[in-house]
This record gives sequence, C-alpha cells and structure tokens, in this order.
Amino acid sequence: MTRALALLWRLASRALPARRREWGEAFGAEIEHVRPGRARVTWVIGGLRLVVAETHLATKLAYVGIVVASAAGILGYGWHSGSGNPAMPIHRVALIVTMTMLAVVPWLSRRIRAFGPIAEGRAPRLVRGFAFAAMWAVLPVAIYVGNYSERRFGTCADCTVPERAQWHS
Amino acid sequence: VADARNFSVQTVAVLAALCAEPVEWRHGYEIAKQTGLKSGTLYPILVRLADRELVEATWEAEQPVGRPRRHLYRLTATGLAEAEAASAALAAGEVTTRGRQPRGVRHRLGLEGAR
Repeated sequence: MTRALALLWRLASRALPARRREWGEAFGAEIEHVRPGRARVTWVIGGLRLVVAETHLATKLAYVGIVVASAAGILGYGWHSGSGNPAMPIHRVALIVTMTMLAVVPWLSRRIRAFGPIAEGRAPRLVRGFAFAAMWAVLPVAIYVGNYSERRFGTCADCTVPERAQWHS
Repeated sequence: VADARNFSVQTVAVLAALCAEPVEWRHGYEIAKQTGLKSGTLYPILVRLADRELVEATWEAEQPVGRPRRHLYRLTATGLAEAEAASAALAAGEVTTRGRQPRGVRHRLGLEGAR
C-alpha cells in the first residue's frame, strides 16, 4: 500500500513545475511517517491537491472545456446536413481543420514562444482572452454569411423544389 | 509587518504552530497534526510562506535509516514578527481573517465565538 501511494505520488509530482520539485520531494518524504491506512491515503490525496494547485490544472481544464464546448457548438452550427453537392466533404473537412487550427495554434505558439515572450498579469491575459474569443466569434458569423450567400447566390442545393425551379428558371 | 487580514485562518494556524517553538525545525506531518490541517491545505500554505520568506526550509542533516530525509521548516525573523503580530491581533480581536474558518482550526486558535 505504501509503495503504491509513494509510486502514485512520484508520478503525480512529476507534473509539478521545476521550481516546485523540491516541495514534491519534501511531501513524498513525509509519506512513510504518516500513520498507515486511511491517514496515509488522505495525506497523498492532499498532495494531489497541491499538484492541481501548483500546475493550475483546474484553470487549464476549464480552458480546455470552454474550447471544446465552443468547437462543438460551432461544428454543430456549421455542419452541413448533406446534399448532392460534391464540395460538401471539402466543406466539412475545412470546418474541422479550421476549428482544430484555432484550438491548437494559440496553444502551440504559446508553447514554442512563436510570438516572443508572454506577459503575465491580468491586463495581458484579458487582451489575449478577448482576442481568442473574438477569433472564435468570427466563425459562426462567417458560417452564417456563407450559408446565406449559398442560399441567395449559390447552386441552391438546399432549396425546396419550388425554390430550385425558380432558381433554374 | 503585514496585517493579519492578509492571512487566512489556516495560515495563521500554521504561523502560530511554528511560532510556539520558533528556533525548532519542524516537519510537515508534525505541523499538520498540531494544526489539524490536511496536507492539501498545509503544503500550499508552507509554499506561499516560503515564497514570501516568512518560512525557511532545510533537509534533515543526517540520512535516517530506512526512510528518506525529511524537509524541515521554521520561521524566519520576518516570519516570526509577522506570526506574533497576527497572533496578537487575533487574540485581541482586532482583526478578522479572510477565507473559510474550519471549526477545528478556529478551536485551536482559540477563536470559537469570535467573528
């Protein structure tokens, strides 16, 4: 049991940032001194809370959740129900690729510092968050405009039969 | 010296525990038992206090047989001054601490009935 808990802690503490690694070791060194049984399990679970706090895991998961939910919503909105138009698979692929890029590129550019150093603090975070949200907000607008123009000026693939007859007349 | 209002009641509990024997090095489990705090509360507090240089940490000098060396903690001079100020302010009822105040910790700090 102790070995399993120590192993669990060793694995979890790897997620700690480098400046907190010593604290991870310090916490792990206490495990064997804690009364075996429930107290020891509680001790290690408490350590996991330390990892969650120090890695800002809850915030990161919240961001991922927001991005996934937004992507699902936009995909649902922009997903074409299907038609005989041969361009439809390309439209779908383009939508998926765009969503993926919007989700991944900001994360990747931050990770590799593609745009230079990243300022911390409330104001820079707010600017980044606003820009990210604005970027995402453009998509449904673009989809709406695309759908509208397709209906108004396109091949009228989704039109009703009378509408199509009128279109081709 | 910082105002005790800058500390949560749990932090004051940790400061009070360390303040009881300021020259002694204490290990985490001992502080946890003394304050009644769970490890998930205690260690983030110790980390913050160390960041603010109110607590200093060191490893046990000698390698004990059959177990890893432990991390030890005690107040710095600044930490001691802050701890004494916070404890005195709390005892005098001049301040209230921010954050949740678990009953067990309040009891240990002698805050039962205080707001």
